[in-house]
Amino acid sequence: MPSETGKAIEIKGLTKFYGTNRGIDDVSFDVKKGEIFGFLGPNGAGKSTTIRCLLGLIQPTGGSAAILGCDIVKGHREIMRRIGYMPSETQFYPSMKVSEVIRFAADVRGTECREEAAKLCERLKVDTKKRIEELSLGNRKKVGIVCAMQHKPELFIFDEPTSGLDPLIQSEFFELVREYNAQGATCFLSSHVLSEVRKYCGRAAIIREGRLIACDTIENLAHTSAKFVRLSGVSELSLEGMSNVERQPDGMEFVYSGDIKALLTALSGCEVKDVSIEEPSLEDVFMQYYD
Amino acid sequence: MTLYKHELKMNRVSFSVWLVGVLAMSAGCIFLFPLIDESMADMSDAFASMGGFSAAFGMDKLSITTLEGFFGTEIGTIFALGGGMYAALLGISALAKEESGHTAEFLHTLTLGRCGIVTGKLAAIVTYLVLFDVIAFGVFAASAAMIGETLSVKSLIGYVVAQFAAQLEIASVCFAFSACSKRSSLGLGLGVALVLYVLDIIARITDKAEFLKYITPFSFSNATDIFVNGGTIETVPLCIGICVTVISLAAAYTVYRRRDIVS
Repeated sequence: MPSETGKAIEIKGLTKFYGTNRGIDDVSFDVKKGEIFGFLGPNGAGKSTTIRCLLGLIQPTGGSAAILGCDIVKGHREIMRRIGYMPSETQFYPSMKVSEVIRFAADVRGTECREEAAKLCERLKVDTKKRIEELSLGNRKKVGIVCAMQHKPELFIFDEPTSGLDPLIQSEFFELVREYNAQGATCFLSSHVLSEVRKYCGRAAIIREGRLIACDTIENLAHTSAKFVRLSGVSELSLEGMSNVERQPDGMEFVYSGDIKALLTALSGCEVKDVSIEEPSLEDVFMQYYD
Repeated sequence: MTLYKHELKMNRVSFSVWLVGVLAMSAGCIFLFPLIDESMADMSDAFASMGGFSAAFGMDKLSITTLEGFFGTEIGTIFALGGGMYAALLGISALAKEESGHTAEFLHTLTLGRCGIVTGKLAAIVTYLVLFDVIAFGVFAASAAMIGETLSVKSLIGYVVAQFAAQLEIASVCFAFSACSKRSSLGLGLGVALVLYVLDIIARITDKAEFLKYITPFSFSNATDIFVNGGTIETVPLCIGICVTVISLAAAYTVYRRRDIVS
């Protein structure tokens, strides 16, 4: 029996190794019910591995996790009944028509959701008469969105949902996410697109090289003592705490998170023509986590 | 039930192609029988006295100048080999095709569960094999009637039942391979069927290799033996075959429940 908590996803020390190769290592974080949660990380960081563990596609080598109060190993079918998942690379049976795929997904779940499916197809401009093999990646992803949303799940898990979608459909997709979220659904959004996480998510976790390196509200993650420094006349400066360094022939830019006195001391000994020290952009802050 | 229907639908073209192909060859041979039985009368003794070759195809036990003899030695072999290869392909592709076709992630994130997926696919395989053999029975009986000959109904039922058991064993072994594999190894499936067939030939040619008849399902489903014995299937090899089937299916369930699924 699922134990009802205020958490949609609870991950404790989740670990997955493929032989000796690292997948994810000791990942722990929670997603609260009703929130839109971002899961950030560069390619190969372990985002999809974490999701695939949660969905029971791969067996974790350590740790535990629960979705909607159900253990991911023991409560797999109950979890699948209550969630909607859209993978990053959506594939369906090539010879089937779009309408057949959508109907198949609904029938397996044993839910009657023709009305919701029709609404989603209309809003996402899905041609249900075409065969899957005739569809582009973007159009296949739209079918994936319909399959994930048509049964109005309590929790959405999206793995890089917007790659391959045109800007209009991306916008419509997030509008749908907001609408379902307003009705109480939780959304777990894995992405490496910072702008969409910043725009739509309240909290986010950041994973790098299989390890969780931060989990907080977007505001707290963005808040930092680091400064964006732009120098003219100096291109060879090297200090502890510098990141995202871009050198030009007659200057350099970098994000500095070290001791500000050390920076000023170093600059006083250089032939600096111009200097500006500003708050970094959110992208620069996240790049610090990625580096 | 939804997955079962889906599997039936997805496999209907290959089923039709194999059914028509194998039965066209088999029925074609039955229709050829009236044209060649007289010419074969003179050769019957020669065919029956070719030592290992005669034993391999059962021509030392049945005369090919009768339809039952011709069926047992020639048509039975064509159908057994065709049915065995079809069963192997059904089994080997059943589970692995989801990963090689990149549809596993979609299927596994519905509400079926691993056991539900294995059961749905297995039920579709069994259904197609039953249909294959029931239709074959009808075609054999009808073809024989159309040329004014008869095949012993009891022997024919025994043969078709044995074929089903053999096909199910081959399909189950390949199904277990499919549960372990990320790719549909069609070559492996066909290889399993052909190797088992060759083992039966070897077991019949030499007494030293007689033990092989307990390994291959082509031994207990051999048409000649069943028609000679009036439809009775040899018990020990059949029981071993049933055990192999059960163990293979249990292995498929066990492995597939725990295995990592590739997207």
